[in-house]
Amino acid sequence: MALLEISGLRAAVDGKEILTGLDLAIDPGEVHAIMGPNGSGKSTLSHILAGRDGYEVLSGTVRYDGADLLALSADERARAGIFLAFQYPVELPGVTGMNFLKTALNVARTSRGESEMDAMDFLKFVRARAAKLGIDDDMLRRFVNVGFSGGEKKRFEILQMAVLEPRLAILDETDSGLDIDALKVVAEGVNAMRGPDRGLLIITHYQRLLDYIVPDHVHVLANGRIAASGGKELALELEEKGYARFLEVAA
Amino acid sequence: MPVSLKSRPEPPDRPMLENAMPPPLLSDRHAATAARLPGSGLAWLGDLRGQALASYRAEGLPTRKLEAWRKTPLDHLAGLDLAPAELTAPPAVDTLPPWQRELVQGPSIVFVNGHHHPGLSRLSGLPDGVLIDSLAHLLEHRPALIEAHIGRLATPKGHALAALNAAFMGDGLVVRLPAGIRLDQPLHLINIAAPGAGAIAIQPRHLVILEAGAAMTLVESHTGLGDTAYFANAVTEISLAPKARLRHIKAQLETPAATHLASVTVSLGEDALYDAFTLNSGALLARQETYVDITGRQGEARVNGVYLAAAGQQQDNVTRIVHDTTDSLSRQNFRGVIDAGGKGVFQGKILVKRHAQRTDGHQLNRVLLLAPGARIDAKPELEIYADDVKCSHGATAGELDEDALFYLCARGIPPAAARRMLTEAFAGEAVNEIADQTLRQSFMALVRSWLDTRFGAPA
Ligand SMILES: Nc1ncnc2c1ncn2[C@@H]1O[C@H](COP(=O)(O)OP(=O)(O)O)[C@@H](O)[C@H]1O
Ligand SMILES: [Mg+2]
Repeated sequence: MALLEISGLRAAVDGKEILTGLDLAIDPGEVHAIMGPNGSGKSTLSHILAGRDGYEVLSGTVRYDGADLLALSADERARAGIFLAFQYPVELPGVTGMNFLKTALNVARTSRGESEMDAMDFLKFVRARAAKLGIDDDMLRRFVNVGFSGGEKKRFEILQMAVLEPRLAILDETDSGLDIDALKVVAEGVNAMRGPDRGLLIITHYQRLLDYIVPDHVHVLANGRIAASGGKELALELEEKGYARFLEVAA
Repeated sequence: MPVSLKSRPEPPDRPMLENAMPPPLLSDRHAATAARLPGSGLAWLGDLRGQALASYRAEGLPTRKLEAWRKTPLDHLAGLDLAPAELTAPPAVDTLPPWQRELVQGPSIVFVNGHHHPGLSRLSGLPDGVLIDSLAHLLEHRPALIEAHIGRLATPKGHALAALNAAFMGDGLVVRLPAGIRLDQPLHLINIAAPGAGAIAIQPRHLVILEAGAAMTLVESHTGLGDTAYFANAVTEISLAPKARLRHIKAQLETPAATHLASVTVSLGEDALYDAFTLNSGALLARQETYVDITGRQGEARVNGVYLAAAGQQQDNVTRIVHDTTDSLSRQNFRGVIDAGGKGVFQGKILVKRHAQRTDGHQLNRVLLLAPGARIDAKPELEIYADDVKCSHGATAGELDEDALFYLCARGIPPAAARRMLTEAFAGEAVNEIADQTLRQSFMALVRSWLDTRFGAPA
């Protein structure tokens, strides 16, 4: 059974139809990439999957693990194992990174019927994952995303993913604004998450990230639907020729 | 036809009613009380109380006609049959509420209904020369010391509540630290109102004098027992000599039947520090007035606070920082959290006199409105007469950030817990102004227990 199965999804924002009939299926263990020009609806898709308010689903279905995903609230989806790495992570003044991670992890654990992690174990657990992403204690003591550089924000998103260990992770332009070194660190963090039970959906505008996170499938999103699908070589073709031909076809 | 002022019709003749206005609240109870107040045999004190009473009679309780009281009605007090607490025997209170007992480690002085309670107070082990005592006791034994200081900063004129307090004052905390003495542990001033069957009025009068280079932390806590109404009208005078440092941290958790009015007047010498934080979360109506006069060069005033207003509650903060010298600094950081049916008032003023060059003054009041029907009236004011200054103020009011809420929910945190977390973080940014880490944590715990009642337990 597919981990995620999107069928004929049409969705609107402020009365404007953005997704116009999108189909996509991700099996456990697979890495999919969605590429598309700016404004093609990539973030819209990621927000709808994560359960953000303000999007109107006109028709279609989204099944996660066989169940109706759209019937769940955002927090229920997250606890069911869906994780969205935000394109624009949000500042949380007054909430330290440590407190944020601990709260989120313990909510996940208690919802699975596990006990909360004790403070010392948690510290070890987070530090081990943070170190791999070049995040030190100092950064974890800061307020979430407040005054973070673009790279710090993206690394902190990946740390959240590593701590929460989701079953389906959606990464919305996690590569944007990163220099090559930061990109490699982030890609290593993502690759470490690959596993037989986990699905990954990498949303990106550029092919560059896919040199480091090699996808099993690549899809082109244009005019609100999947205009083409292929293997990793499709990404290279897009890099060379651009999105024009998909936009023309759709127009 | 143009109507001149002169031709305005006269009001119809009516007989003048000699006693049309009832005497202001409590003033008719003074005669019966005066003789029983501590120090009633002292002529100077009799004069001071008498003048204060006259001044209070003339002005009456503040009404909404006064600019500073426009948003703050005291009408409900008139409906209470208030008796001066001095006239009622204090009910037996023989244990402290746990939160007060645990708030801070160190010496403590307890007042029940405004009367010193030696049995519950713990004042041993203080350094030589330190005076920490009750006003009532000192009026009996060292009246000259009190005469020299009381009523110097909080003058009754033009301040009816200070006048009312002075007319009835009998007890309170007196602290005097000799030059250079530093108290390692905070002193805890514990106030408990126990009105018993009938509504009472309490008029605490506190005096804090730090001589040159002396330093201490004063923690104040306020609570009440039972559900009978009471009215606390506290006046505190604080005099800080050059290089003295006072941290003044207050927790007001009065009962929902309480009206809590408090004014603090501070005189700040050269290079002295007054660093205040007030948490107001209790009472039906609470009003904290803080007046700081920076008269010494490089004096520094920090006046911060958190106010939490649930349905039916009103929390007021009034500040007035006067920069009356060169090179002084003031900081204000207030955060209000207001729920449906709750109300907050912030009137903050920075006044920079003409000669107060190089003043650095900043004021911030930020308010979180938790639900429709939450109200805030904010009036920040800068009045600047010097030309070389750095002054600013900011005021914001709004709801929780939807993007931040979604971010938390997208990490699995349920909406109610997410709201709670962001509200705690919001208030925490002012609680963080408390310099001492232990106290900061104690006060954060008080904020959390308020959040527990509003949002339920944290995630
Ligand atoms: N809140 C919104 N209100 C109105 N239009 C929106 C809103 N969010 C996105 N859009 C529009 O939806 C389209 C897709 O946006 P988005 O999903 O962010 O694209 P992408 O992530 O692929 O760049 C764009 O035309 C954008 O202007
Ligand atoms: Mg986008």
